[in-house]
This record gives sequence, C-alpha cells and structure tokens, in this order.
Amino acid sequence: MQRFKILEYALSSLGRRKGKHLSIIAVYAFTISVLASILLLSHALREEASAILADAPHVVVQRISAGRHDLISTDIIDPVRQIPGVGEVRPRYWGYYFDGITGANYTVLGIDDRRTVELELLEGALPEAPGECAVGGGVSELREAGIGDELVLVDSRGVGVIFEVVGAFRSESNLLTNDLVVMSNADVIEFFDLPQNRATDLSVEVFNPKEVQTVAAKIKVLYPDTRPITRSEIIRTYDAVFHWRSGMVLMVFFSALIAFCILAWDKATGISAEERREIGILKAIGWSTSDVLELKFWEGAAISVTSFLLGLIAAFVHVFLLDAPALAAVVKGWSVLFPQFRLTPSLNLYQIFVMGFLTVVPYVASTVIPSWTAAITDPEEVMRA
Amino acid sequence: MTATASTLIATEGVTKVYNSRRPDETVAVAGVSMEVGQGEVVVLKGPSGSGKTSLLSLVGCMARPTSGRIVVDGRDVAKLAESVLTEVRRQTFGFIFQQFNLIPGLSVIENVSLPLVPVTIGLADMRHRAEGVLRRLELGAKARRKVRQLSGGEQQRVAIARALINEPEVVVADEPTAHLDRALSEELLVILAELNREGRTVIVATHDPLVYEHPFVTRVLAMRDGRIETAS
Repeated sequence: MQRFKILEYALSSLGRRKGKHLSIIAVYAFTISVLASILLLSHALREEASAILADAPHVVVQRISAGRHDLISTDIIDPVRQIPGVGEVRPRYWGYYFDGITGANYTVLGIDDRRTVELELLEGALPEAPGECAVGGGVSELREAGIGDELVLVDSRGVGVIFEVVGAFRSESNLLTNDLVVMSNADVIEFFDLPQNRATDLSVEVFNPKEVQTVAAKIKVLYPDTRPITRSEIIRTYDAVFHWRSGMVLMVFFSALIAFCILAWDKATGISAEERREIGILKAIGWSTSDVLELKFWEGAAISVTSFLLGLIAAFVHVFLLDAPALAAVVKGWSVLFPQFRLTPSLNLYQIFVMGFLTVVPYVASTVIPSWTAAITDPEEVMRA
Repeated sequence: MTATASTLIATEGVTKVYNSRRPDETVAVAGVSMEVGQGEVVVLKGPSGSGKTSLLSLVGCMARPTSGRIVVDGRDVAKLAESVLTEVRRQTFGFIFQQFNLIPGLSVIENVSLPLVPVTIGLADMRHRAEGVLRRLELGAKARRKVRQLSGGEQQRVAIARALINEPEVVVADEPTAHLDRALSEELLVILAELNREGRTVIVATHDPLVYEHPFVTRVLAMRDGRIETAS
C-alpha cells in the first residue's frame, strides 16, 4: 500500500513541475525517436531484403566483362546443369528502364511459361501473350496505368512500344514488386534488343543447400569470366550495407545522445535547492532514505519510460507510416528502391530491450543517485542548505 | 546525569559541530546536558546563533550529535541505524517549523497527509485522519485549497496539522511565532497549550517573550554560545 502511495505522490510531484518535466520528456522522446528510427529502419530494410531473397535462386551466374556485368551466353546452361547436385538452370531476361516521363527507374523482368517468378497478384493475370504486361504498384501509380490500360515504353531502338496492362501486383513487401514491369521473355528480348543466345544472367537451383558454395566454386572454375553469386552472399551484402549505413548515422547520432546524457546528468546532479529542501522536509516528517529514493526512482522511471514509449511510437509512425522521410535517404541510399515503397512493420524485441535498457536505466540512475546524497544527510542539514 | 522515571528525553554532554576541521568550523551546541519530562512544556530561548535550533534538531532526532548521548524513551538514538531513527522521528515527534516548510504545489490535505504516505495505512484511513485533524484546527473547509492560497496563520495551522497527524508524543516547534502577528501568535499558543493538556510534551525554541512568558510553559532554558546558561 505504501508503495502505491509513494508512486501516487511521485506522479503528483511530476505534475507540480509540468513545464520542466514536459520539456525533459520532449527532448528525451525526440532523442529516443531518432535512435529508434535508425534501428527500426535498418532492421526493416534487412527484413525486406530477406523477404525478397527468400525465393531468389540458390545461385545467380552473371558474366563479367572488363569488370562490369555483361550478358551471359545461354550455351553454358547445359554444361552447368551437368555439375553434380545442380537442378534446373534457367536464363533470366531483365534490365533497368529509365522512364523519361516520370523520371523513375523500373525493373523490366521477363517470365516464361514455367513461371520462374512467383509473385502474388492483386488483380488480373500474369502476361502470357506478346504485348501484355503486369505492373507493380509504384509503376501503376506513376503512369496511372491500371488493368486494361495501355503502357507505352520506349525500347532500346528508341521506338515506343505499347503494352496492355493485364495484371497489377500486390505483395507483403512493396519493395519486392513496386518498380516492376513484367512481360514475357520474348518481349523482354525484343524490348532490350538482346542478341541471340544471350541472357541477363542464369538462375541455378541446387538440390542440397549445403552444396551451394561448392557448386558456385565449380561454375567459377569452369567459366572464369563468370561471377556466381549465392543467395547467402546477397543477404550478407544487404546486411552489411544496411549495418554500415545505420552505423554511420548512429555514430553521428551518438554524439547527440552523449550530449543529452550530459544534460540529464547535469540536471540530475545539480539537484535544485527546491528539491533539496523538499527532500529535507520529507525526511523531517518521517520519510526514510529508502522512501525518498523510491520516490525519486518512480519520478525518473515515469519520465524515462514515458519518453521511451513516446519516442518508440514516434519512430514507428516515422518509419512505417511516413516512410522515414528524415532518414530514408541516408539509410536506404540511392539504389533500386526508387520509387517510393512502404516498409513492412517489424520489430526486433532484442533491439528494443537494449535501447530501453541503455536509455531508461542511465536516466533513472542519474535521477536517483544525486537524490541519494541529499537523502542520506540529516534532514536538518538538508533544510539549512 | 541519570534520567528519572518520567524523563522522556535526556541529553548528556551533547555537542554539535558544523564544518568540522574547516576554517568555517562552528560549534553550535557545546556539551549540553538536559532533561525533558513527560508532559512538560520546555522553551529554549536565546538570541540568534545561540544554538537553540541546533539543540532542537538534536533532541528531535533530525540531526546526529558530533559527540554525547541523546536518550529518547530509554533509547540512545545517536547510535541507531538511519531506518530506526526515522521510525523514532515519525512515531515520537511532530515538527512545526519556523518557515512552515509546506510543499507549495500541494493542497492542504495532501500536505497534512504527507507523513502517512510511507506508512502502512490505507488511502481511505489516511484521508480520514487528515480530515479529522484539519477539522480540529478549523481548516476542514480549506482542505482542497493549495497552501499558497492560504494566509500565514492558516499555513501555520496546516503545519501544525501535519505535525499532529501521526499523533506524536512530543511536539517540537522552532520559532513558531516568527512569521505571525500577535493575534495569530496567541492563537498558536492556545493550540500548543491544548496539545499539552492532552498530555503531549512540547519543546519550543524561540526568542519571543510572548511564548516563554506564557503561563503554560513549565521550564525555560536560556542558551548562549551553544550552552545552557540558566534554567528557570
């Protein structure tokens, strides 16, 4: 019961200095929201990358010419298929398309009748006949092209080609399909004017996931001008890139966090004469040192937990509802994520726990410790000070 | 000195030194020995800086002596652990301070209830006791007001109500009339006299003749330079 009464008194005590405590909560919550935004955003991007790559081929084989990605010969499909443990080997036809009308980059992707690409459709169907296409949400929005509409794209010869939109994608992850224009392989070959027996790259299926690295190494030995990329390598690359970017921002932000901690410490250690006097009064009328410390603990906990939760909610809204306008450019970079997309909300409880621990505990400590020095002295001395 | 059966508080050679071994070292109380009996009204009088407030703090368990013994109800409180000393202070003493020492942002009833917050007593009981003591001091109608909205005399009565809520054996008052006019001072003395009639011991530090010449006072101890000069 007395614990509840001390908590009640702590809350009313905070209410008595509204202006001061609201400004601390505002600064504290802002600090938390920036920190949480970076962590949530980089975590969500890594989750997106994993979602995209979950259905990716075990190995993608690209040809490298003069250090650049070049078209690969489809003549090597059969020899690669002969490598023990290798299942299907398929050519993939795709390329980036810059749309001068909207200033956006699309990914033009070919599919064959075996549906090498498994994508969930919002409505309509995947293209089957020549001149048909399906588009992602971003493309559909930018070009105002829904099912039944026409989409005009300029091919590599500079000629406008009309495609009929027969499907529009939806997906758990917008990132997966947002900038896609899907058409038949034949149409992609025609559109990009790809030479005979050439594909953008090859997808290789490996029966035993443990043999993926071995198969990739064998392909490299057989065809030294190729670059076999395994799925796990891509995941690691995404992971490293987002870690690196978020790490950069965190380093910059860290100095702001330290500044806040110094401010909090200064505020707390410089316990005001009014607070000191109040501690003295409480002790004089029968509060023990532990009662005073409990009071200060609840005050610190109420401020820090409130700020933490507000900061976390603000970060969630910033990242998942507003698409992180303040940080996206830094953490996402310029890459293929253009145009806009919405991240799938996901939380890493471990990260949240660590963030909570590293922000709430120091603040509570910086509130309680200085009060302890006032609380252990005789009440008479505290009131004389 | 040996305490008699009715002795409630006794000090033996009590000394209090502030800022010890520093250039500004001050001996506030210098080897004071005294006794306060059950139900007595004892006044510590003297000029500013004579050590009466420091001695009052020592006998009220608000400070520990630099040396000497302080016995309250048979226990040497100078040697008690902080938590036990707090318990003695809470159960035995009710304090009325010169500056009232109320918490300005709180209401009258919240200020009066404060000593009961860390005590095992239900919220309803706590409110009930606070309302009772406020009614007694004719403050029942102002229980929900903020203390800063009250007059000086009313604030003094709130401070008295807070001192009484734990039903203490001893009421300790430090310069209780310092900020009151004559009428309010007399009103305060009436309250103190009434508390004494109920059997409570009252110890007052003051240099106000209105207090130490009042008929309800049992003994007056005159202090100078940290020592008791005369007793009457």
